[in-house]
Amino acid sequence: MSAYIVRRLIHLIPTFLGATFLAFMVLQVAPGDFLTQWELDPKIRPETIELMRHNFGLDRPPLLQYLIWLKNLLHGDLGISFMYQQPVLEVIWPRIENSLVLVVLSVLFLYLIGIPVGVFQAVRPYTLPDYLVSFLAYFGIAIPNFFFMLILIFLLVKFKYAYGWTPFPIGGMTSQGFEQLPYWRQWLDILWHAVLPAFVVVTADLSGLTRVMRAQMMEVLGQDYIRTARAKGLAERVVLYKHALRNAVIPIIANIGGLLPGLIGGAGLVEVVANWPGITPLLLDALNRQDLYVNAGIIALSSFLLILGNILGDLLLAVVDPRIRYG
Amino acid sequence: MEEYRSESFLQTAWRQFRRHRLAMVGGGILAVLYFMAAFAGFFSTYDPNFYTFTPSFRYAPPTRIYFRDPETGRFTRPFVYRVKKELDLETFTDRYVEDRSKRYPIRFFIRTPSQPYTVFKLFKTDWRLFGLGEEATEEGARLFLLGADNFGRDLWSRMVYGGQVSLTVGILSVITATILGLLLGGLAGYYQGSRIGIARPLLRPESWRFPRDPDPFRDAFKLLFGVFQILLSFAFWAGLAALSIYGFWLLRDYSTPGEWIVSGALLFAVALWALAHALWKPLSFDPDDLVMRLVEIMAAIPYLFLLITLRAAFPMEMDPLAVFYLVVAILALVSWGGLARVIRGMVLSIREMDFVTAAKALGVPEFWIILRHVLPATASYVIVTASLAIPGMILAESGLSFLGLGITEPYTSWGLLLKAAQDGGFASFSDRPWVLAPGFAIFLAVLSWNFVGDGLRDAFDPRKRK
Repeated sequence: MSAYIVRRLIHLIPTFLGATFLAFMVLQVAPGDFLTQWELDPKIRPETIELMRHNFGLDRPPLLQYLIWLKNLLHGDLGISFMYQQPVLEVIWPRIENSLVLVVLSVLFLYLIGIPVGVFQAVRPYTLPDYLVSFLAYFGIAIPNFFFMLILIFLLVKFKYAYGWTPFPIGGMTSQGFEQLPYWRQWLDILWHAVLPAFVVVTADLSGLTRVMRAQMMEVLGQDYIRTARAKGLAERVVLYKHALRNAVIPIIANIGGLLPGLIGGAGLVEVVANWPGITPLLLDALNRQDLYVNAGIIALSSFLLILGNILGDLLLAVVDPRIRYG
Repeated sequence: MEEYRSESFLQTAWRQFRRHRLAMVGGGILAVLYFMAAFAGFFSTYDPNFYTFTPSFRYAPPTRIYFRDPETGRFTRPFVYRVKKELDLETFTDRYVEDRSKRYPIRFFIRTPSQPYTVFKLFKTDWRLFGLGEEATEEGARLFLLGADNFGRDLWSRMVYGGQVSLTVGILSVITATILGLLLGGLAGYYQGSRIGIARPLLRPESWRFPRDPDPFRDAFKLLFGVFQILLSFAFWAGLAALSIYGFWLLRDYSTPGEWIVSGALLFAVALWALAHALWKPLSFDPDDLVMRLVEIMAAIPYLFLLITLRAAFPMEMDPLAVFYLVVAILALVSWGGLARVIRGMVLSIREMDFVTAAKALGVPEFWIILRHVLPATASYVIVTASLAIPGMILAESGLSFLGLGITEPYTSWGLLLKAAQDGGFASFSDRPWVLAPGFAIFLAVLSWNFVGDGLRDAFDPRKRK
């Protein structure tokens, strides 16, 4: 097992290098750089801009810029943000934390809602509640998540006009007076703001998961050993949760590694609509301003998380399913 | 005696598909949507870019349609009143007030000579399904089914035209991605394990020998290919030399002496290794490795980030039509990998089958084996995957346009219309909920494509046949 982990981690290196190289080159292809926006400003002399360009290292050949960036990355230095005049890591990390709040919460929603609902459907297939949930699942897959968020905000605004208060906050991550709250209240406040966006982020995946869970559970319930378990006179509860569920849930665990990183990017549009200070709004802003090292840093960190998530998913699968052995 | 009738593969699939009720409903909705998009001019009430400053209809609400006569209360032919913009002196916002002096009946199958349109860029016409007519437009009456935007353009017409973009982007990008995935996945799978030589080692005598062939055409081809490989070796050599000199030059300019020595030595070692390789060992690669590593690398960057970064690599102000094709290309480029991976896996097993061996034994050219024998065996999987990928593409396009990175004016798409709805802040769509209508259009299209995709999947799956 540990040999497998080491092999996967070594395999991670070329993929990561390739991904960062690709991203860096794509970023360099974009016309102009961070200083282009000032070139038309008559108050700034062209020499000043050239000097700044030299100081930022932007006048160097792209390949060399990449190699220097990579060298600094190995030292844990992601460079400096031109926009914020701060180390990139200090700019990005809080945003990644914010995004992770959404992601973790939505993964919780995903499994806490998806698995029970799938089981609920599987034990009473082809009945009205089953059809109803299936229809809702189609709804969840088809609705664009940013549009869903817009509708929820619309409803909240209407609610606010009608009753003067809202069950959930309209956008943002913190309430007014957040700084004065005690520490645990701050967390509660953030969670309260995160509930709706996290739910919206996860609607599509949730719909997919309930469908897979339903199909899996129904297949397992048709197996011979379930009949045997029932014939032995086991309680239906034991049959369902001990014999059926544990086998049905395996492919779903297999998916977890693939889901986590998908959600980091997938929270994106919802973050924009819900005004959540996550990583996607920062990336959009930085791409717009051509803040090279912020862009490169975001892509490097998120692809690192993504690759790590995949490995984690594979390992989790081995833990859950004793039939899987990695040599 | 019952007559035995044989059924082709597609006939069986079609019979199965028709049994899938949701898929048939989805197919019907899609037929309507695509028909409306194809004849957008006919179904829209105005030209999508038609607006006037006087009178201005900035953010006008949907026009109220009267089915009853307001005086007598009897049913009458549907009509509307002209609306006029007034300033509300309490809130200082625009308010639209009906001018009840004249009724404008809604007419069907009208002609609007001042706003002609073309169908399929070929036929110029001005027939519209319904509207108020030219005179009413002259007099300042409008029929806004879904209100007007910030210029006073009719949102219903823009939505119908937006469908053209949103619905075709999905199909075009899936077709492009499928071709890419089939081609690269097929090549990777078929040639997995074989090493394709790209350069011949120059110091080996066998590099300078060329295989002969009795067929003169093939003989010439093999000779040409050999010469090409030798030329490639030279190019590789020259490139390597140029790269090393370039590297040394870069290092001299941009690094401290300490770094210079270390990385210079490293570079020198790499150059020496490549040189030895180029002179004595053939340079070759496994196409499977190449394609699959590329897929892996692209999959390592989160989908949305790759999408917007690729878009940002091109200037923001571009020709709108070029932007449309760019969006299609980017969507295809970002999503061919998954398909290529699966196709590769299927081809790996298909290439071992007897019919492929038979084709080889008969001397069928390899590209023809791949094209005619190997890839068709993946057809049902490809059809299902493609139809299930279209809704994803429609969603991605709408998201991209929603961020302002997709389709640009004067073209419009459902995502772009939603962006316009959101641009004014929360108030803009809470006061004018009808601007959210394009979102429901996206929802309907995506839902229907999902139904159709599910139906196709069941239809092509022998295990689900009844």
